[in-house]
Amino acid sequence: MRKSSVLFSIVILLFIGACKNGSQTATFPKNSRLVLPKYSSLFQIAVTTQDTFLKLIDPTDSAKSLGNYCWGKSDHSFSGFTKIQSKKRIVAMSAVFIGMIEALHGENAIVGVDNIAYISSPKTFNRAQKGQISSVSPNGNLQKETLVSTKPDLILGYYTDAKGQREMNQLQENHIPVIFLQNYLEKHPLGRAEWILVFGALMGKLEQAEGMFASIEEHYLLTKERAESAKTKPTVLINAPFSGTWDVPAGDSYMATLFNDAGGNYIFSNHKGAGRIPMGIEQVFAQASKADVWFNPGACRERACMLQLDQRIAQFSAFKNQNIFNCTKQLKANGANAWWDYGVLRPDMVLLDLLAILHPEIEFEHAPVFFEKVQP
Amino acid sequence: MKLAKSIWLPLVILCVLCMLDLFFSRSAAGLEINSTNNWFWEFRMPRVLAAMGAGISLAISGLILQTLFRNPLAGPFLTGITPGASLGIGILLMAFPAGMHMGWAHHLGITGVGFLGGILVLLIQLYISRKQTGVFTLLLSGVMLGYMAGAATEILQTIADAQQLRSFVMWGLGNFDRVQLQELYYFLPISIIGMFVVFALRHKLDAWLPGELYAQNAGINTKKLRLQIILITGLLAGVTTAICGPIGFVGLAAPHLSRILLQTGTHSKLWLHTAVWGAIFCVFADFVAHNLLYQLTLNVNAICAVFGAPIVLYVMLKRKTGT
Repeated sequence: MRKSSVLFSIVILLFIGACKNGSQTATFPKNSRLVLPKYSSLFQIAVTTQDTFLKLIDPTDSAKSLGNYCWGKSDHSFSGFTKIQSKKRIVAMSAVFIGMIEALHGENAIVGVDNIAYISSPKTFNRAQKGQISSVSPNGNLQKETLVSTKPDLILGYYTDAKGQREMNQLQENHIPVIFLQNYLEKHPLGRAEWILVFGALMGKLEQAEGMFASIEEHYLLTKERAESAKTKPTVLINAPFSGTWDVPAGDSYMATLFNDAGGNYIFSNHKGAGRIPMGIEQVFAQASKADVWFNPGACRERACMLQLDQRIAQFSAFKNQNIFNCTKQLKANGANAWWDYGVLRPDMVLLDLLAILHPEIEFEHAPVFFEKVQP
Repeated sequence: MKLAKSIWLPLVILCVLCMLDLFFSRSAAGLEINSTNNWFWEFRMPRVLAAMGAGISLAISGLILQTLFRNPLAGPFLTGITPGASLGIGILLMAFPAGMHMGWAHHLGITGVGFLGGILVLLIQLYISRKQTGVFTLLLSGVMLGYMAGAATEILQTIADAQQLRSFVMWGLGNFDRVQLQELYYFLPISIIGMFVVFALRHKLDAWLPGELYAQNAGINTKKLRLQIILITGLLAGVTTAICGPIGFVGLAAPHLSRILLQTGTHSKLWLHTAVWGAIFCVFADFVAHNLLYQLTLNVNAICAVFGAPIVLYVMLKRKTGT
């Protein structure tokens, strides 16, 4: 009897725990138009004539929810959905979010960003210079008082670890709504860009966002098709060593997808996963010393700078042949770089850049937007 | 100099580990002998030699620090040398926004600053030790100075920009992959000379063990000896930290393991054992870090502690005696 009651209690506790973690129990209204993403599996949107609904899915467990939200003209409350009352004052905790908001001309709603220094867009940067936008996490540490002083209606946040999630959740407990947008975990470049639909929905410009994404997708697929006509597949290496450790993106990451879609042969494609792989410089050399093209060697824009990272870099074929490109073409003096925001929204432009570099034999008119050759 | 019989087993272990680390690599199928060698001299050899050099330097530093402070917990980390060296290097990396883009002058700068940072902390601790001689005071002062240096480093990280922070964080993950052949030209001689200086000082260090007064009565210039120990430990631990990043555990564990195995505190017997066990710890950690998982490099510090601590505890319990 005692054993069975203990077992029963455990089952009840587990059930309560599951509910607290947020399972996807909320259902969209029957009369709504569903907007299901093609490439992303981390969000779902539905719209009725009066309201918009957003479901965010936990990237680590698709059965769990990161939050269900609704907003709109009606006064109804919908079971399982948190109502967002206003979106007039937004704090955007990532340059990517700012880029997407700006693409939809909603930058006037931004009252706070993580760090003003990393804003590449002139419009938002100018507003920040005028004091209309505050840095709420200038050195990676969230300044809660600064954040509260911006009087936000909504915080668009993300987290990379449990500590960051806890910190953001504390704000939520203090009645500041936080929406976690984990778009950086998308594996496909188009999946990352597809989050423009979420921003479109938030800003009441869903149809505009859908049109924008359709055009990006079409352009991307056309470029990919063009790359498929290439007769060779140059081998590709990425990143650079820092103090002996060389982080490379795994084979299912969005960078690997971009290289392969641009007609390249990404050296580390056979590594499972979408995250980063910390490798020793020797391991990278053993596999990639003969790579044809090298992308993004840290912050270096000159080969001399690369040699200071590690002199042994000189032995890589791509270094000897001066086939090194970095995404620093739009790098500003303050450290902001359009690669981190516009590059996420426009993977089609990134792919065009890569195609032009990897396959100069395919003739088409394109001046690279993000990449520049590392100087000898 | 006649080698004791007891040194042969650790030397054989070290040789076997060096051979493994030099000639074997983890492939998808398991451990394999390397078939190509175009990268051997540039990558593999410096890495293994650096592991040996770091092991020798840190272990020898730990040994003489434990003697100097007559404190079994003394080591490059606990006495604040490594945090002090880290702080110095942190200041250098933050002060120059280009990070590591300054050539050999910068490498030498990092080494020099690491050395100075380590020495400075040790000098402060010695000043405190002359005012307050209790073991707990010494221990606490080391811990406090380490905390202070660590906290100052954290503040620096907070105000650093992304590029500076990345340089420092990556430097802070101690490993031997970063060491290049050119750095070994001065790192290995420093390690070996440091080891032989300790050999030369062995009798004085033995006389220091019962206390400073005893050493004075034995006719030893204790001020000079203290300064010599500070310079050697600052140089060995500071330079190792600058070149390989902060490596913990070895400086504390290797001297204790040698004492337990040899059942002696005599430096003439301990110095070589300690150096060899230090090298064993580091080469083993380097081998495991590179070969435990396929094409994924683990943190050397973590491997040192995860595998080393149980070994030391096991030997300690088996011998049923402390150090």
